Formats: sequence, structure tokens, C-alpha cells
Amino acid sequence: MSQHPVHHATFAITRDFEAPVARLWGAFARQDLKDRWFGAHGDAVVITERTFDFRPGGRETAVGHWKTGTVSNFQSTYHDIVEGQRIVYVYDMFVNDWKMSVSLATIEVEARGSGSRLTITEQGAFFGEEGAKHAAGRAQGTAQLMGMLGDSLVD
Amino acid sequence: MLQHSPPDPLDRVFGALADPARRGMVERLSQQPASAGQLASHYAMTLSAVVQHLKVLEASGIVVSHKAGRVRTFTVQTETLAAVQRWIDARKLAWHQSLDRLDALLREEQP
Repeated sequence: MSQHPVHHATFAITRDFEAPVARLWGAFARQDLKDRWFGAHGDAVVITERTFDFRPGGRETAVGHWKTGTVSNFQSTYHDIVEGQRIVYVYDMFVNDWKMSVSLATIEVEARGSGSRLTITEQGAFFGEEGAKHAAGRAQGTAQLMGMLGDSLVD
Repeated sequence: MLQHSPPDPLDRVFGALADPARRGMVERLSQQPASAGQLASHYAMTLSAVVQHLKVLEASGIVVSHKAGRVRTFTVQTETLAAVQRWIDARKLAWHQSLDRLDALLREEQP
């Protein structure tokens, strides 16, 4: 067993919306709209850093300070954008200063009757929890991840 | 609207973790196994309330207990949620929560 294991995982999520594609697209393409729904929200977290540059090569970042003391850090780069059709980005997710995973995320939107369909596919390289345990000066990784997961449940 | 509902065991896990007191207990137990009595000393609640919380956590598979003599010790059962599955669940959960907010946003009247 490697001292620094890497695991690979893929998942997909599909959602249908009554809103047409143009409005769904806007919710990804405009920061004022995306800030209202994407990522960490609620009383359990404070966003301390946020950038949004929606174009191929542009970056999007969000740093969240959770009540449990955990700091989540989303660092993303847009790789492909086809207006009204798809967005492909790659992001690093850090928990405290430990890099938890690197993911390729593909967002696809399509018309569905008068509404729209959103399909999200994520392919991730996940670095296991040994790394979290070794994150400098921090408590055991499992507790941090559990705490983060739990916090995200109580908006 | 949810097209990929989490399977039943995950519902129990998330349900168990929805309570802040239980999350606190999981955090403590992940650092060190403890008895209900030892845990109770950290909380302003009765021993029986702590035991009830531990029963919920045990039913969800998050913790397991072993009895040695008269003391039952609770330990976090990390195998229950393998690391990768936990990552997937956390990412999916984050997406589903975000998409619930997106759905509400898109249902609002356009300005």
C-alpha cells in the first residue's frame, strides 16, 4: 500500500428545472446569481475570499471558514465554455491546508420541453484521508471531514 | 426533482449527523474511544440523553460499541463509510444543497 494513496471516483447528478436554458445558464455565468446558490451557504460558514472569472482559462475561487474551525478552499479553473451548452472546469479542494482532491467537473445544460436539464459529471482523484491525518497541527482528518459534512447539513 | 437519491443507509448516516450534539460526539470519538459516561461529562445533558444519541449513531453504523466488563466503549466505525465513498457523498451532498438553492432561485420572478 502506497504511503500516499490516490483513489479515483466518478459520479453524476441530473436535475430538471422549469426555467428555460437561458436562465439556468445565467445562474452559472453571472457571479451575482451564482453567489446566491453555489457552494457553502448558511450560518455555519463565512466566505472570506471569492473570485469569479467566467471564461476559458479564468479562475473561480471560494474560501470558507466553518464554525468547526475547518477551512475549505475551492480553487478552480475554467477549461471549456460553450455558451448555453457546457462548462468544463478543474478544481482543487483543500480542507485546511490539505489538498483533498482534484476534480474534473463537466456541467451540461439542455432544453427539456419548456424547461431545462442540468447534468453534472465529476471525475475526481481523491488523496485518501491519511493526508488529512498528517496535515500539520491538525486533529484527525476523519473528524474534520465529518464536521464539514455535518456543517453542510445545517444551513 | 432529486434524480439520484442517496440509498437508505446514507439517509441514516446523514440523519444521524444532522444533530449538532451527535456531530460533536463523533468528533470526540474519532479522536478517542469513550464510554457514554465519559462523553456525558462534556455535555449539559443527562446520561440517558447521551445514550440515546449514541444509539442513533450506532444504528447508522457511524459508531460501534464493545463491552468490556461493565463498561461499554464507543468507537467511530470508519469502515462504514469508506474514504472514497465519503468523498463522493460529501461532493454529491454539496451539489444537491446547492441545486436546491438554484431551484429556488430559478423559481423566483425574473427582475
